[in-house]
Amino acid sequence: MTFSSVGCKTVMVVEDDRDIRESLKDALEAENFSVVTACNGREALDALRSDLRPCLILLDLMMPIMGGVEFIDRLDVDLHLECIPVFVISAIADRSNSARATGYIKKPADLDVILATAHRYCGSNLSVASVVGP
Amino acid sequence: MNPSSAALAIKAAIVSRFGFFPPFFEPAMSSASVIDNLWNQTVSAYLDNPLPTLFKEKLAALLARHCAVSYCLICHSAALKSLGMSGTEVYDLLARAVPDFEEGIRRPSTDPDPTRCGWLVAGSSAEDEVLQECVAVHLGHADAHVYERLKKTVGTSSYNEIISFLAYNKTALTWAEAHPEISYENDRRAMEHLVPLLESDSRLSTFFENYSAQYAVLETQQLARRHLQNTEARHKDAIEFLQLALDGGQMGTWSIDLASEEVTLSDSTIRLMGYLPGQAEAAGILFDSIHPEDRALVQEAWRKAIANREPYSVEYRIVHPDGQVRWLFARGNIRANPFGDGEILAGINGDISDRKEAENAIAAQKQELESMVHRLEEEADLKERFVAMLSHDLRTPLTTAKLSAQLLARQVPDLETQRKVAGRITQNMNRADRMIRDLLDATQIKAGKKPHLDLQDCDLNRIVKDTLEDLSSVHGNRFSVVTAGDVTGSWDAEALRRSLENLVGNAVKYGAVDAPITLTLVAEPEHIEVGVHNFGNEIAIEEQASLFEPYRRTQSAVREGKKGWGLGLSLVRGLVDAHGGSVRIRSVPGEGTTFTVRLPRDSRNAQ
Repeated sequence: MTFSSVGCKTVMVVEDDRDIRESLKDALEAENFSVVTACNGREALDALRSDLRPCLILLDLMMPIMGGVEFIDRLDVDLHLECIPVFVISAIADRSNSARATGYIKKPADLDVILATAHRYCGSNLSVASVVGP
Repeated sequence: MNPSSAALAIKAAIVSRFGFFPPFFEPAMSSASVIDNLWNQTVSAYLDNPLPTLFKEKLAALLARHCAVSYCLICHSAALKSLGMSGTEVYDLLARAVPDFEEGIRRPSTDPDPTRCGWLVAGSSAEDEVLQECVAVHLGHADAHVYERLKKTVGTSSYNEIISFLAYNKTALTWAEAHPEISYENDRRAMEHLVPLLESDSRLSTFFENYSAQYAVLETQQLARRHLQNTEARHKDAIEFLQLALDGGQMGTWSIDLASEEVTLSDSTIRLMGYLPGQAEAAGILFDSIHPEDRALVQEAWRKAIANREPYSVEYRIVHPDGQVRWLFARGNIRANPFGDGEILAGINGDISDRKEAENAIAAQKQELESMVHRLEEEADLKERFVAMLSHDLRTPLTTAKLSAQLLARQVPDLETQRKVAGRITQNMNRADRMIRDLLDATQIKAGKKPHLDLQDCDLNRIVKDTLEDLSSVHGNRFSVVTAGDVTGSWDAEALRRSLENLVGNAVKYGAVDAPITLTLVAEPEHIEVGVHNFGNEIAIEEQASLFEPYRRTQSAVREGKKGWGLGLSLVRGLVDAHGGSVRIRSVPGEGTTFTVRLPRDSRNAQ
């Protein structure tokens, strides 16, 4: 897990593929978001237990150790953090697994859509963050 | 007991009619109703019967031959003498053979003469025929044709008179046979005419002495014998047919006496058991032949049949003396033994090996088809999962490439970031290309085609070093290499690099996390071997063989959600096979897993 910076405009990226993870991080940082990355659901939950409160979680579904579906369950049940918006970014065509997510972006994803989502849930790159529920 | 007055009154009537009291009626005197009955019949059917007296006496004499008590025969013969017949004529009448009821009577030589009127001429062939027909009726040999013919010959009225006369004779002869004490010596007819009759033809005394053996007894005996012969012939026929049926159906008979346990087997049963008749003791053949595994089954069927008195039915295996195993069926039931003094369990058995073989073949075919359906379903399932995985995995490098390209388009970062992002695009395009190449190669290999190889002189040390360099950049420095001697040969370096990349990639993916992964190179004169070992996650022996099939993944890999197409190992084997080499696997709990590739030094011969 890498902490680039932790602040109110923090976006969490949970993705097992290194290149996708790094690409998202680079793109979001270029827009002045803080980015926290995790390689799987387990790492992400561990990070969230230590008072990290991102304004948006971008979540892959198919990951080793803990996949995206189980991560969402644990987020709600174990941590009571159902207020954090979760956007699934997945190549899986079947969206039934991500019904409880705030939104769904299909891979290969458009960078514009991802950045617009980040801006929507984390405010403009200069404004104070406000968490908006689904 | 003294005769009643009623009986005495009847006796008086008889004496007045005959002029004497025939001994025939003497036994009836004990009962008025019996003497009354007998006398009334005698009067109405015999004495007052309008048939000619001579005819009546001839017929009465002929019928009396079939009575064992000689009274009637002698008295009626004496009466014939009194009516004017000579001893020779009487002899000729009586000594004739009883016609064969099967042949003569039923097929008379001539039709009755419809123009004839009046009674038949005494001694004529027509009268003779009527007499013979009457004998047949008396003996119970006549069928409807005989009665019909008799009626036509004599007319309805005389026909009825004859029939009532015959009926009376039946009664009279039965009466006489029931009272053997009745003696002709006290009958006036015999007293007056017997001696002249016997003197008239000396053959008659011999005839009277012996007639009963010839007619009264022998006739019955002959009939009985003929009947017996007939039955025996039919029985023999039936047995022959049964034997034919048993032989045709490869069957035999058996029986066991329930008390003595004595076993009887037919020759065909003995042969069914693989023995020759007389070769061994029957009980031994029957019981010892049963296959040891079926013995309990047979005993249970046996026990149930006897305990519940239900049909015995069982199919079981026997072992011939030569060791051959055959299938038999046995059916039987409990019945009285032939002597009627005990019970036997008896029945048939037969060879059903052919049927059993066919049944087993059908069962095996069914099982084969079921497992084929199962395999096809499994393969369809694997392919479905594979396509889902393939589309997912191909989108992964595309996602990176697309995000990176869009990032470059959005703003111009510094040169270093530009290079990093552009490099990421290239790497991911290559990654997608490798996926497509692996997919195509695996498809070709599955279709039985050899992948194309570009053979060159290579050093396996070099190939291993290149492969591990790439993997170390991703997975860190977990790899060690043990090498000895010259490991050069003529191979396709890229194919071997891909093979090793797959094997080492699997060791990383499925092996114990962070444990070392060791590559061991072994040099032999004609071959080299390279083994890839990882600790942990052993592969079950039943999964090892199918692991090289396309789309096939271990259950634990699927369960733990490890990514993969299930093509890597089939690709490795296809590439190694194309080199004329082989891949083997060794996976032992506690020792880890080793995949070993064995290659000939010169793969040009395999091309």
